[in-house]
Amino acid sequence: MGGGRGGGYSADAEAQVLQNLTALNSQFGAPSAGKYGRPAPRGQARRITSSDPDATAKEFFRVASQGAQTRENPKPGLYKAKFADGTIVVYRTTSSSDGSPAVNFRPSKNIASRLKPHKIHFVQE
Amino acid sequence: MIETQQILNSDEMKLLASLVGQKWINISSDGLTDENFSWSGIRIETEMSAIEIALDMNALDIDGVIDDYPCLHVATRNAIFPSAAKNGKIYFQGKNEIVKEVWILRETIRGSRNNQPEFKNTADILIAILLGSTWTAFARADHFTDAFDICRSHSRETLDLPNSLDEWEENLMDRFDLEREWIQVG
Repeated sequence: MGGGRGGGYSADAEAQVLQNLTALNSQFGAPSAGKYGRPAPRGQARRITSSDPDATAKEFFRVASQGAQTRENPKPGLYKAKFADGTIVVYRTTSSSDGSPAVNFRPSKNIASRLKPHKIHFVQE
Repeated sequence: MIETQQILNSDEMKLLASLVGQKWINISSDGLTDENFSWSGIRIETEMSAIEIALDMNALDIDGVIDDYPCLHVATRNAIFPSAAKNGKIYFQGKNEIVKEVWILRETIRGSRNNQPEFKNTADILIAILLGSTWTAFARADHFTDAFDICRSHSRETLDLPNSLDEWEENLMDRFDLEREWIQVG
């Protein structure tokens, strides 16, 4: 899952992250207030609804982590990606809190004006 | 109002304090990607002992919804992580320097809705160690992620701290305040 060019130098990594954001925008809609998905009635985590949350979360992570130094954690169902500029993306196939798949996005400080650190739960529409 | 804490206990504070005066050897972790980041717990070895700092995920209701959050912990860790040794994920910066001070950064986030207090969360998010004349800090990467950013600086005041308020989304109803406190543990 993920993989690619390996993250390389920080400027290359930042360009790669920005390219990924453009792809995410076209597939999942542009972020609002620097976060993907829609606000939930309570709590800080965002929500993306779909008919197949597992496939949607997997696709979101695939796009978000293109070109990163992705590695799978020894724990099953946990995928982590890091870019050389400091951006990190974490995908859990099952949250221990509500069982939904979830992705955390922590952008590097260089792109913090475009994207905020946030978590997205992928839930049934 | 919901009140939660993700703070070190007194035994963990004592373990951190025990580093003071010791000769630094190295840091190591399975999850180190470079000298500035680790996906998992970090072992700090000194001449006399070794500890591990880790972020464990716990399901908590911080702001009205249960979610998974990383909680900082400190424990003794005598043996080096096998894959850290095998893969050379060991950093020796500051070797043989003396640990002079250890501090933690404690953050309190207060949330209110329509001007009514909703929640208060207090969390230890960073451990800063003065080694010779250089500060090394191990900081929680963000509110939802169990990874460490590692930064170094010549003063505690210039350490690169996470912008925690970025993670809280204000709107017409919801407001958030951040308070930070440095605590010297040794």
